[in-house]
Amino acid sequence: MKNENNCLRKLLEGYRVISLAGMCKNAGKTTVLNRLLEELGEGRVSLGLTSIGRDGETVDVATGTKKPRIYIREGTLFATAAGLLQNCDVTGEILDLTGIHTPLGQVVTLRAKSDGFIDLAGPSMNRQLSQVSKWFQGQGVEKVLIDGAISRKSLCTRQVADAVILCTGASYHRSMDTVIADTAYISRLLELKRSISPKAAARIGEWREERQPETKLLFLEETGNSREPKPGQKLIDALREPEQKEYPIVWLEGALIDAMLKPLLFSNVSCKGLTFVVEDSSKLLLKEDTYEKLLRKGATITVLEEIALLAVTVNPFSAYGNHFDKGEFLEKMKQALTLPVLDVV
Amino acid sequence: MITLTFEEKQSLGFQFLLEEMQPNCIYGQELIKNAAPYGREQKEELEAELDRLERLTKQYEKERAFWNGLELVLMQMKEVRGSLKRGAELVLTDLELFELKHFLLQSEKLCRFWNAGPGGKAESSEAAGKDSAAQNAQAAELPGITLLDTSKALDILDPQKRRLPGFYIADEYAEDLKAVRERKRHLEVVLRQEHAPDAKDALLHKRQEQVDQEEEIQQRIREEITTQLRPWLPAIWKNCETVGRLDFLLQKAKLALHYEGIRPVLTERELKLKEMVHPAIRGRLTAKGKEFTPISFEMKPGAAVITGANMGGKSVALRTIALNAVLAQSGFFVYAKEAKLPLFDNICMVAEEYQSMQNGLSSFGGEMIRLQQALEAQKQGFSLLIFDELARGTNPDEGAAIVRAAVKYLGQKQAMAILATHYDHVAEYADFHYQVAGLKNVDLRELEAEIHSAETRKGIDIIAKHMNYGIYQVHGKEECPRDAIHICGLLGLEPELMALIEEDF
Repeated sequence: MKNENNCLRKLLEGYRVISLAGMCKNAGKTTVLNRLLEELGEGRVSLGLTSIGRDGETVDVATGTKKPRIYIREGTLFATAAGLLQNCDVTGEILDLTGIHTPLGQVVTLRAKSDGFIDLAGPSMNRQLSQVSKWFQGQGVEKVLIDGAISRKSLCTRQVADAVILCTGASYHRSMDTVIADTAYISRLLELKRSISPKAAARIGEWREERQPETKLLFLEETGNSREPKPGQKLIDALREPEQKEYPIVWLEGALIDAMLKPLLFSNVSCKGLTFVVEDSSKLLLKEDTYEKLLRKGATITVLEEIALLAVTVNPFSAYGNHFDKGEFLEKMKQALTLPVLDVV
Repeated sequence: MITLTFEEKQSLGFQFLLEEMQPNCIYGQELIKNAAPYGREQKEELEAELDRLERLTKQYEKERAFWNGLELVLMQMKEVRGSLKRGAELVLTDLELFELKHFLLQSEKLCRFWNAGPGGKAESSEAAGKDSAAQNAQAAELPGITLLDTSKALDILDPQKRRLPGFYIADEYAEDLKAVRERKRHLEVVLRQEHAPDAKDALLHKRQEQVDQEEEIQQRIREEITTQLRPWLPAIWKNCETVGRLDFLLQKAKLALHYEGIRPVLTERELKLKEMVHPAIRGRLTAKGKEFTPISFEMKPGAAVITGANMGGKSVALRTIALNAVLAQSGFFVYAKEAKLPLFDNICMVAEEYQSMQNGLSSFGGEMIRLQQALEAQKQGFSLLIFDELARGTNPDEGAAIVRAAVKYLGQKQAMAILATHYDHVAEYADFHYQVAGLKNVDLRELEAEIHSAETRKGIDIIAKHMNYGIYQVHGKEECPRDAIHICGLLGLEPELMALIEEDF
């Protein structure tokens, strides 16, 4: 390796399924992926590779800029739509059909019999992605890499991957400060840990199996005791119930959005000591402002399923022309984050 | 083949049985979807199918492991007919070649499994040399189900003869392919070590030239492979059909065993069905904690009338007869203790639920159009015509006249017509008369006592429980049953009104 500090491979140790998420288009995701493929290839790590939806074109469909292509090594397994096989120039052995259909045809799994370029369009649903990922692991690969599409932060769900690399860059926003602040906020959400007792977590698991589809809230104690809100009751009204103070943990099924918390933030209901729990950080669709206000009111947010955020990569070049200063961008980002920050361009 | 619409299959309860079946592959699934009665001229084929089904049902339980194993292989038989069609004219793609290879691998496995038989006698390695003998052995098992040996076609797609599932244009196909790949590989190895952008670009450019050459050769080989495969395509197609028939037969056998079906005896003009059941209706009754009363029915060409005043019994009897007749003629087992049936040129059922679908006509108008269609069909050959409460939607005087006329007319035709009706003076014109047993053998006084001791609203349930939905044949004249009036009385209808009804009847 040219530079040990810049080594991505080391960060991946101990993780089996790693996804690449982008803050925006042209965040340098494919470059990061190619770097990973090269480093892992040199380390003779056997790989399975797919993407969520379509990516990896030579020209960016949205902005017309030339994009790098994915270059893999011999022996790598990959899954892509049948309609894109003609764009792949590796000598590829077709191994199996997944039964997953996309607008570009059925997703097919192949083994590269040579090095070469490929064009990826994998499944677009989490459940299908994990099916492909399991299939790869059944074939004995050591690591599965999933190339994410733009803004698909849902890729960070534990259902799909156990670790994630977040790619960000100058294409996200004209202002460097905004890019850094937003990246820092997303990183913070991705780094959330589970902070509730195993008993409470187990109770949530049980309840999710048996819950009625319309019930999306559950209140718990650390001991695992729980109560449901009255049918149709809103979060804020349920929190006003006198018995509520016994149950400081609030489980929220599905996504947590601003509109759910706003009434609470502007009310006189006390949030002190409350712990809001969502499935994983992909379920947190909160503006930073809302999130901060909630914390200031004395509440915390936690996740049931943690995911490991391994690193943030930065790309100072913008597809829209306003490039950042390479050194300044990297330094500022490093200051804003406690994670490894890598410039891979 | 006699075509049945989806609505007809559904109304008969045939669709219910078809949906109970769990085919293992698309080929079997298609045959199930298109299941229909054989034509009368196809009697030999039908007998052959029933023979196979009989053999299979006898073997199935004994050799369960074998048949389960066979189903596992069938499950892997994917759709390839699109590729077979394309391959006849065009050059197949890698993906199509992969699918064909997969199908051929499974065919080879199936052949081996099939030839080995339940005991696993013939070992796979020997089977190849003794093809004709092996095929004779399987012919003895299920005559008419013969899988063609397509191993040679598989060899075309597996030049290394490794019988692995993956497919690519392997180096073994051509020397020049091997050579270009070696040149390409050499460049790729150098590329791995090269980090200077310009040198990298130059290498990539050189590599691209080799990639282009490789693709050119690969395309030539795809053409060669497709040409070599072409003579095999009809045999592969035939195997697709055979696989479908085998799958269909297996599902029919499982259905027959599940619902305890028996093989029907095909006759010229006699219809005799003893203790029939209707699986879908029986299932619904069982779910409600009720029992299905088996139905026995026999007739010769002519018109039969089923009468009875109660709720549902006639319709159930009609549907049970019709379903079992359709099953027998479609090559299924029937759900009866004894079954003798003729084959029909046409099977028509006129029941009210179709009428709503008839071009927006009133229910009566639609029904008369169906009647006319049935009469036209009857002119084409020996027919089974089934009418559920014909003309029930019109006034009773005219309705009765229509039904009586239909009975008289059909009684003289080459047909078996079965009509359920509650109209008076119809049965006397019929060649055969059946009556729903209803409350015939029930002690009304005991029943009345039971109703009195129960809660007021339970009356209907108690009556329904005692009601016999079976049918019995009426010989000669028999007084019309008074079930409707009995029920009024049992439910405690106003005595003054009851008296007036009694007076009028």
